[in-house]
Amino acid sequence: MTAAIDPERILRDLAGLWRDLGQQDDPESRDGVLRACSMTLVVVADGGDDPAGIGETLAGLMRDHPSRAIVVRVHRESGAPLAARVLAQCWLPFGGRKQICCEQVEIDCAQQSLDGLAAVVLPLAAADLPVVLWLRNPDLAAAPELDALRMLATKVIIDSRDWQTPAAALDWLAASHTRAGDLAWTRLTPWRMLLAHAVDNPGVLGRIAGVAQARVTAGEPFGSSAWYLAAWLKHCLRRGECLVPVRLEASGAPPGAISGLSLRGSGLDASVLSAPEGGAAVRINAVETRSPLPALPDAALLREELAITGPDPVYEAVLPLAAKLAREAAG
Amino acid sequence: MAANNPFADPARYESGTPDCAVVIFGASGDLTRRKLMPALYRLMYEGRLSPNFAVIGVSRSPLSDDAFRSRMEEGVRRHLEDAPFDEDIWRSFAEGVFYMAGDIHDRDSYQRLRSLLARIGDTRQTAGNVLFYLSTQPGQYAPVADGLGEAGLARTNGWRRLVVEKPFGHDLASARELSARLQRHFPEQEVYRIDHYLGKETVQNILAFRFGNGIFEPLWNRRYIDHVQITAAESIGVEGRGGYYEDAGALRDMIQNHLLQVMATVTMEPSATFEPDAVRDERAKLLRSIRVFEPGEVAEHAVAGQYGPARIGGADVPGYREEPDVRPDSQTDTYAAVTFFVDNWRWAGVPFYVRTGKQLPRRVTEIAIQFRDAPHRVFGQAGHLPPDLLILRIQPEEGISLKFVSKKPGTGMQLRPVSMDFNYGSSFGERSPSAYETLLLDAIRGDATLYTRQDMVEASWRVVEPIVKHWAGETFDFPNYAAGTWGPAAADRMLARRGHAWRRM
Repeated sequence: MTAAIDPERILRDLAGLWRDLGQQDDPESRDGVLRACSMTLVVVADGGDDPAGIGETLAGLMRDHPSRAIVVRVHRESGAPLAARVLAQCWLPFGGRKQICCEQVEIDCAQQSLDGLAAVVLPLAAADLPVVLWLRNPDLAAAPELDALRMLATKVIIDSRDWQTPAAALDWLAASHTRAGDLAWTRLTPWRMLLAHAVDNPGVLGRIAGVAQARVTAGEPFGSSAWYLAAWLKHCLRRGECLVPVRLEASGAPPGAISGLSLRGSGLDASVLSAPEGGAAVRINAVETRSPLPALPDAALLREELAITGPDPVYEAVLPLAAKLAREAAG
Repeated sequence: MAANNPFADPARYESGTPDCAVVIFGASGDLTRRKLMPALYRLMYEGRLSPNFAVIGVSRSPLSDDAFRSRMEEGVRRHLEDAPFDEDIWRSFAEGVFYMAGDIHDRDSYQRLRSLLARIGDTRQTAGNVLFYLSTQPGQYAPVADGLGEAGLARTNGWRRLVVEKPFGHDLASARELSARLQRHFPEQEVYRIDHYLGKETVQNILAFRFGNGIFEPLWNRRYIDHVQITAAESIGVEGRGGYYEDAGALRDMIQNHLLQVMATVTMEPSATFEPDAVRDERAKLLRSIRVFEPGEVAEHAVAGQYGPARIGGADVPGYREEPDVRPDSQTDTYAAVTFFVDNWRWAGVPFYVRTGKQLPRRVTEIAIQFRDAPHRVFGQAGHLPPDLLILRIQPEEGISLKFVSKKPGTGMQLRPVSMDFNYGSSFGERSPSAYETLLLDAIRGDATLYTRQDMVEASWRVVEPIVKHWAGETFDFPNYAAGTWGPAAADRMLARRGHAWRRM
């Protein structure tokens, strides 16, 4: 692969791309094209993965996390094409002038060439900035040929929802030597935030110590999100070595989907439940309010994950516990 | 989020807010419908308000809770900027919205309010916390504070805060008097004087930009900065508020509060922490460092203007004196430009040109920091190169631009100006909260960083009052600029005396 795809040439193509963009700039406006880059985002996808979907997701990310995006499509068949091309994602800030652009490199490679991928990506990564690796395909995530690439990354992101079993995904993440992110966990942020905000006053917080039981309801078979949520509640409600029982119960929701969480104890009855007509019903004792609970697209989930390239203490504490729960349930 | 909230995850989401009720006096007014309720609804939509949150509107008109809710719903639907309206969220929010007809001057109204708050406190569990928002005529601030205090509504188990809108007095003496009246019942730390300019993202970002980066602060002084221009231009006239404006004028309405606060934010020293009083101490210190003009200096450093009629885009635009409720011989300033100086080590000798006006060519609020020229013309340009500028845009597009020169590609050494732009709307996917969202949330959380303290109000009046007094003794030859132009020629001459010119915007 390294012989077929020359990083130096890609870098020359990128330089040429910027020259072209500059030449297209209206000389009358006298405004240059601005390159924006806050990280290198490497996306490894299966050759059959929806290219338009990936492109839309990346376009949706660029304003928040302008990056040099390197999209690697891995083709399973031998003799698959080896190719690389460069393009720009641009948008129009104030006044509709073409102004800010991000680079995108697309690489096609065969699976048998994966072991050379790190040698191509390393020189292409933007200097001094974090490298985030988004592994879209569970098989590729686990591929040992990508070990070198994983070592290069500041953070590795997967979506455990796509894995065959939650236990396998969570174990893999827990064993990762690189900082990890999981979009299945990110999907839970609105749920967790609603509960955190609902109890965030002295009167209610004083009663948290009296919580005797917590419950998570989700569609069967339970996905990693359900195990994450149960583990998070256990983590949040722990009192020293003592863990509050958290029940994970089946609901009529679609497989893996969360339908609610609740806390019960002395003087406190709190719940966040998905409402049939959409949104969430948040209840603290007798007071119930409604809040939006949007289904977040990949771009929104990644936006949150890319904002955290440093420590993520709550996730790092919850992950091993969730992996243990999922493993025990799998027997 | 409370430090002991076990469900907190600061890496992922913000803290919640305490349970409370917001009581809005003057609830039938425009501000409530256009700004306050849309801001509160939006905070609820984003899950930033406690589920127990309640709003009580107080006004003279007799209305049922449901009728008030309907009016507010219409206002929220119409004025919700940049955000969807969700029926379910509104219904949930509206369950916590109440109305009480009451007369500000009637003691019985406050007793009824007390009973209503007690009842809502029980049903909504608002923990006794109340934010009183005075969206009334300024003359009613003191009577409302008295009414609340005498009814025992200013102090109870929970916190009680009072939010007041500008103007905070019409001169130094009246500002002090107002403050004394409010403080009879509400201690200074519970009085929140709102200046919506300070709630704007870019104004807050000035602090982040200056004190969060190491590269700009070394340049932020008289050695590298030639001068600063602060412009707050409006493209509309007084829009039916002639009665109010006749007593206010541009200098009092904009410069005494908003623009001096903005100038203080640009020029203040870094605070040791981001605690509310640490930041406000520095801002107040800067305001006290602004030179107070002697009467004989005012004419050289301040220009008053008033717009006259014009024909713009095929339409006749009336002059200020033709507006309703405006005297035909009015001497009120619809334009004011002042050259301020900050008498401290950092800023000695640097002019700060501040201008504001109505019926100017476009609506724009910007701060332009002009750096000194390179000391020697290495490239031997025949003409003068444009200056390096740092532009902090407050509205309409909040953002920051840095303008500098660069070599034109090709042979020879030709330089051209280029602009590097950062735009809030396009650089962060998140929508910027409105100033009222930011400020209301801060008041509910007890964070007064962006609110004006009494010593800051007094320092601003000390600076502005000599100009107000001098102008009161003058008879101006108004109108002195046509609607749709950039103000009177005297304002251009004021800068030209120092070899400067207003930016073309």
